[in-house]
Amino acid sequence: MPYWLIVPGLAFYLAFVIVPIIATVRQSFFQWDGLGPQVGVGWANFTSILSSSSQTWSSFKVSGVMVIFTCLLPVAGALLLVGLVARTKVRGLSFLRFVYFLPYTVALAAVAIAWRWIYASNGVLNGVVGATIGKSAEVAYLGSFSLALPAVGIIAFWATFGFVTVLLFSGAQHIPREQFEAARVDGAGPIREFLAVTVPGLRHEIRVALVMTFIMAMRTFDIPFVTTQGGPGYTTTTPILTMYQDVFQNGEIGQGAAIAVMVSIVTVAGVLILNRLLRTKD
Amino acid sequence: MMISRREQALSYVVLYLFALFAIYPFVSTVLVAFNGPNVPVSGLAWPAHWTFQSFISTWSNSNAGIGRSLLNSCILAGAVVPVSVLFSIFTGYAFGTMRFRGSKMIFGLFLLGLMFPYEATIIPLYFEFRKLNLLDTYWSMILPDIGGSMAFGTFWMSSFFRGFPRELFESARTDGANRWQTLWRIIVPTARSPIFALAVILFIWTWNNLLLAIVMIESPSREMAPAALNFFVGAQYGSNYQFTCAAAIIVALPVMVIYYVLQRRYGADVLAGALKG
Repeated sequence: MPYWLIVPGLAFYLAFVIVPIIATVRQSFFQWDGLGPQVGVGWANFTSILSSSSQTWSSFKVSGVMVIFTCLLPVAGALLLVGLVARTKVRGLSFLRFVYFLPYTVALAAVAIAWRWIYASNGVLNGVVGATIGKSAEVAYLGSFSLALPAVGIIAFWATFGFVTVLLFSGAQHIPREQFEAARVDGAGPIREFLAVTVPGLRHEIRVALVMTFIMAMRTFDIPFVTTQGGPGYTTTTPILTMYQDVFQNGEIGQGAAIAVMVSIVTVAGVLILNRLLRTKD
Repeated sequence: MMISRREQALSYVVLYLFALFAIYPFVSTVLVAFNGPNVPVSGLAWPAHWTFQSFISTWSNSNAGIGRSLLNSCILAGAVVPVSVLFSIFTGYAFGTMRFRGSKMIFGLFLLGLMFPYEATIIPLYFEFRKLNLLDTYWSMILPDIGGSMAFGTFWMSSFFRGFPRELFESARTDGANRWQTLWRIIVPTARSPIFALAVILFIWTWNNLLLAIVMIESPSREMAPAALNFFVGAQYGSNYQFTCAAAIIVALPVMVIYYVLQRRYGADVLAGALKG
């Protein structure tokens, strides 16, 4: 009986996830333009993407920035909010939860369009800045070498912080009230209470949030693809975007596969490290 | 719990400022889209005359085919979500309530899929489908989307079934129900809310998947909704924000409606809350 139950799901999972992953690893050792014969090249795809002149390095640096914006800052922001909520009864919490979670439900392609308008030279941000400083502002945020990456990062922050917040809110409901009262009896102020009760009580949720958003950060594709196409230059080109361009635009399939393998290794290693560092007993 | 009034007020200010931050991009998108197609917009883009004209032009743009793309995305989700949910109930039931040879190892294999960036599968999938002449068909999206849903679905359902009280199974067994009958008569009716939540999550993921859609589908008549959005960003309409914003709203609306229905029934944290498993 148990085997019959898992057969359909396992078959799909093996055929469309596990086998393709193995095939990607194999592909990364071949050079192929998608049409002609495949040529085994050993580690050459990896040495070429890891050579210092290669653009892959810079794409991993972009990934590092995306980890800050997609993973670390949202978790920090959510902790701040949950610190406020955990101490007291907040009215309208279910409304807040609904609003916070809304960005996560929307296609990132649509999110990117909403933010293209905010960042546009005649858009919201320039309008507000212009009204504040009293003269017209026309900064092309997404076209600027120095501003495009943080601008894309803020979109990613927007897309994940509310989801992380709702995750931590639901965890905070399970922290026993007595712990807060005990801390207060001991004379703990808001900050001590936050560090001594709220954060330890949310260890499990914090770990899950960090792991999930770290994976999202490493997978970043939609937002830069729709907002900047990776530009200007390569300033917002993520590894997955490089993979897409290599395989589907430049006919460098082996090299794209090598990037996919690198992203997978970094992601899995990062998840294992996070789980190890923040291990909870259960 | 006693808290000073000032602290309370500060909490509300911070919480609602973040709420404003979360909601504002929606508001500004709606404002732009309610401007007429040829009106110059700037700044906050408050429409001088509210009109649906930009939505109508966007909808009827035959090159973009956004209505068609919504239908395609519905077909895709309509195939992927029920099948994935059903298979996840099966695997979750097996891993969550039964012990069998190899169960730990196979479950571990599923968990591995939670960590892997899904994008790492797309290269061989593309070339395999090309070889099988399946590119540019619904199958080239349906099959990978089901496969890609199984890791999460299995993890999700099994963690719920694992928490089920033993007595439920035992009382079913004493009533003479076999495992198959137990599943349908007792487990599934009791687990309605996690099953519904899983369906919504998988719907969101399937509907929003851009990379797979632009890789696998070429014909405009089979284009998926997020890929149709990408069309509007292209050179021709990229700076006509009335059109891009109207298109974004049209594509995002079905998912937002479904999320709204879900949270009305089960609360907003059912998705996030259960994710922590």
